[in-house]
Amino acid sequence: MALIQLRELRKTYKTGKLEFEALRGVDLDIEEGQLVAIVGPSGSGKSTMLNMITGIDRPSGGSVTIAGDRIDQMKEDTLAAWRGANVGIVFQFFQLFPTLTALENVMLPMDFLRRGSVAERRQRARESLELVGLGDKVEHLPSELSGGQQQRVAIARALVNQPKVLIGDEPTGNLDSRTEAAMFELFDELNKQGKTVIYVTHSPALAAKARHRVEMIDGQLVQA
Amino acid sequence: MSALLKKSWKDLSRRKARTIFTIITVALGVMGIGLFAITPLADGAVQAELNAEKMHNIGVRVTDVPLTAEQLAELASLDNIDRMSPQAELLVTIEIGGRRERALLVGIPDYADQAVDVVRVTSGEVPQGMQVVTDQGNEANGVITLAEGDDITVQDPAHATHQLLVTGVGKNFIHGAATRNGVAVFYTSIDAIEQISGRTGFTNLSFTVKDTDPAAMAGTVEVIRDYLVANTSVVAFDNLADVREEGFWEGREIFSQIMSYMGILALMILFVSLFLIANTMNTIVSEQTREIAMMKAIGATRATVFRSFLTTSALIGFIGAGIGAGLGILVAFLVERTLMKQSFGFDAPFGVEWPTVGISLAVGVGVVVLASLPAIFRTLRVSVVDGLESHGISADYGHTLLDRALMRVRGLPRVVQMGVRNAARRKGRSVSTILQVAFAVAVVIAMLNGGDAFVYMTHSAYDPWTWDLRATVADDSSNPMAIETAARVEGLEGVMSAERVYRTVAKVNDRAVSLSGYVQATQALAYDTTLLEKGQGRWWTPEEAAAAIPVVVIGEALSRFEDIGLGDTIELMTATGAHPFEVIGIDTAFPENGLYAYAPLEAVQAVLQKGDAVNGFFIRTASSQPDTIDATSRRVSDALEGLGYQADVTVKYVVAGQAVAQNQGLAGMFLMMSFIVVLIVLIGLMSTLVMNILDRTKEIGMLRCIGARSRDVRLVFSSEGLFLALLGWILGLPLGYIVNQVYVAAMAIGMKLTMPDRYALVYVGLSLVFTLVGALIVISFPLRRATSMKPGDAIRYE
Repeated sequence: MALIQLRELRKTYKTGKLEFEALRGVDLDIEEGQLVAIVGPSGSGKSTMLNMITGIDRPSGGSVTIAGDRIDQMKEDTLAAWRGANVGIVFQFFQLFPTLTALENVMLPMDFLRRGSVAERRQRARESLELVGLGDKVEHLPSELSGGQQQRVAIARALVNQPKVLIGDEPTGNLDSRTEAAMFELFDELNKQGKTVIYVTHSPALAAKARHRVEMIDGQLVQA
Repeated sequence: MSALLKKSWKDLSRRKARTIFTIITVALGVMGIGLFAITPLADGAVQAELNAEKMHNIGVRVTDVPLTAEQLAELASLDNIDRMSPQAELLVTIEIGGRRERALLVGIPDYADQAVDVVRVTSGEVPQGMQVVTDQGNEANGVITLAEGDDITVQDPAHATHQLLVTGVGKNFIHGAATRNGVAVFYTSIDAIEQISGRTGFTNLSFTVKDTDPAAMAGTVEVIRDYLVANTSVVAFDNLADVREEGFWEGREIFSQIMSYMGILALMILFVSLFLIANTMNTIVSEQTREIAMMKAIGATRATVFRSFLTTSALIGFIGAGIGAGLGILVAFLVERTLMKQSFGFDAPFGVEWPTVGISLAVGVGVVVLASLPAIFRTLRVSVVDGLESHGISADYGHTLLDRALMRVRGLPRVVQMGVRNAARRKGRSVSTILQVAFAVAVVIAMLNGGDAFVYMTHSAYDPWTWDLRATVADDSSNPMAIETAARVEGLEGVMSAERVYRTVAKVNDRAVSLSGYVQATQALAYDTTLLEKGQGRWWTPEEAAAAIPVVVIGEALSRFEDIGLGDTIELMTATGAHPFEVIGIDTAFPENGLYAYAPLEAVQAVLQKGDAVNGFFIRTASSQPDTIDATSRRVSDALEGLGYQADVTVKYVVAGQAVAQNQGLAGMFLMMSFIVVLIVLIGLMSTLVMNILDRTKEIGMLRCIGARSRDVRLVFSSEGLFLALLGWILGLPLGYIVNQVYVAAMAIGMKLTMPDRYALVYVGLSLVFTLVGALIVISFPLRRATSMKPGDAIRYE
């Protein structure tokens, strides 16, 4: 059975009298250990589909099964805890918490899951930051880091609970090409270590590097 | 409607909850201004009552003057006289609850034909013969409650009793005022007065005049006097003629002073609401940074942006001020009606004080626009590039010392740490929230302490008095009350001791003080705790008393008002002139508002040239049971009257109870006002949290993305809210002390009330509990929003 199974997935947004169908019956299987790039023009439904996989948005129809769990049927708090344990998410604008240091930002998902003692959490957060090459920036606040460094902290945070899946929503969209390349190397390395990596991108270079490509247009898969 | 005006209007409807909160705050602030309408409304209502009763311009008191119909007609047609009416008053005693109390009977010749000082029968039948109507103030002021068909038994000065039937309820502004001093007032027929007193004639002649100029009225008084002297048995008026200036009524000055203090509180409310308005406008501007940049990008000038936001704030001002002015009208009317009912016993009609409404609207709009200006000016500084590039969660924390200091707070769960640090992100907003909370805590602490001070004042006024009854007799040089009388009183059933005293009024530097001559070994005053334990001097010695040495113990208020210290010599101005007294003690007890002087009885008798005569007794009763005290007071009164003295017996527990009730009412009113301040502040705190949650919607989404449950999100924001509330509380403690000092000073200057400045620790603790509980309650509403957000919606939030 595929790690991620999307079946007849539909999502309709309603704004006032307007209805917009962002996903129109998507079926998709992603196996464990794949490196998948989701591409397509703006408004094609890439981010919406990613949001379904991470459970940060609910489908209007269909099902989302991840590692055997029907996450579209979970309650909000259960889903939050599931997400913390199983999915690591990296966004375009980093979304670090400005009042927390790099180390504290990375410790936060473990705090929510109450994993290990505080000392163990600190140690794991350090290791995670070292993995992304920021072992010397642990006490820095986001305001003291460059964009690339902030994104690395976001990746360290996404990895710290050792999730099965790492998901990036245009993770390099706000980075220069050199940093983008370095970031992909990191994703590639993680994938080689067995992590399932899925990202949405507008960058042709980044899309080309993925071992699997999923293309979307008007809320439907063109190529999977 | 232009596109710009439409945008301003729609900006308000975008965040409905916040707009509603802000409008409510403005409305409450503006409503406070409405309290200034109470005094003119009350004045209008009283004037209407006075007009309805055809209140006299000149009232003269005479002793039982019979006047024929012709003489009355002649009096009514004297120069400058418009109308006149005669009445006959008789002071009697009546038994109320086992005590003998004073009662005033007012005889009206013809209820259907009253030209001046009209007594209105509001229910029941007009009294005839041995019938009375009870003044509505009798019940309103707790003097005596009677129903139609009840009987009252009065005792005339010759101790004969008479029974009168109550036929209804009546009212009269002038006579009814006596009920506030515990005197029962009844209106009856002239026949009844004659039958009870055994005398004929009138005691009160009331006139209205055509020309109310003071000089003209003074001349008219002479004309009346000349007529009476020439045509009747009158040789002189009993008292100075009561000449009333146009618009004057008893209690007007104190009433407007109390209202002034309410007004100060109202301004405080408005001041507090300013913070919230400034916060709201700041947030509207912050949220619209990208829109402002976009407006500028498509050609909007700074003036256009300025106009757009000015319109938004003016709209808030108009709506809030409109609602507030409406509420102000309602509250002013309700407060005025309640006060009028309590004080004067009548239902004030609904009225609107339009100038106050106009001011409320102008101030409301003006204040909102003014509070918005800093935020609006900030819009002008938004650069197009920065504005358009604002995305995601801003990483702008950590640049200030405060940020760094808060990062050193250890040992708290991560989410709590986030909350505490978040408080420093919008520093302006947090500071104004802290100030609001501090201000509310300060006002509540000051008002609670102030209320306590009122109650303490009352207790201080009565607790040191260890007597149960105080008998005072009119000074009669032909029948001085000497030592033997004390023995007679002491021999009465229920009397444990009767201590001689001479009480009079003296002046120190033109300030009236109560001067009491006490026996040296007094049992009537517990000065040991209020004087001796405080180390502020001493009581006089038996030797000083025996030698009538002029030494004096004065009240602390007098000492402070007149800057008198121990060892100083003060001049006591008495009926026999000024006499020097050395100050040997300053007593902290609070009778007479602290404006008193105690001296050896012998010294007081000497300076007043009274020999060994006294004019009263402090009586301690054998039992502390109210019934027994009442019965004893009656015996004392009878005994003294039997000896030929006109005696007035004061019952301590009764006067103390009345004083406590009055002060509690006043304190309650101030406390109510302070709760409006608290209400606004709670709305302010809630609004701050709502705004913070809106600001950080993306962060909430992100927290959910990385595994935060509802309780984690709740903890972040409740820690922030509680942290701000706690800081506000800490700042509120010294501020409360200052507000209390200002309050005490204002009372001293305005109302001549020397209140003890208290700062009770219990209120410090109580205010902490209130602050935290209040904060928890109000932040629970925005927290619901924070925890119910879907992570996807929150992440997409712009």
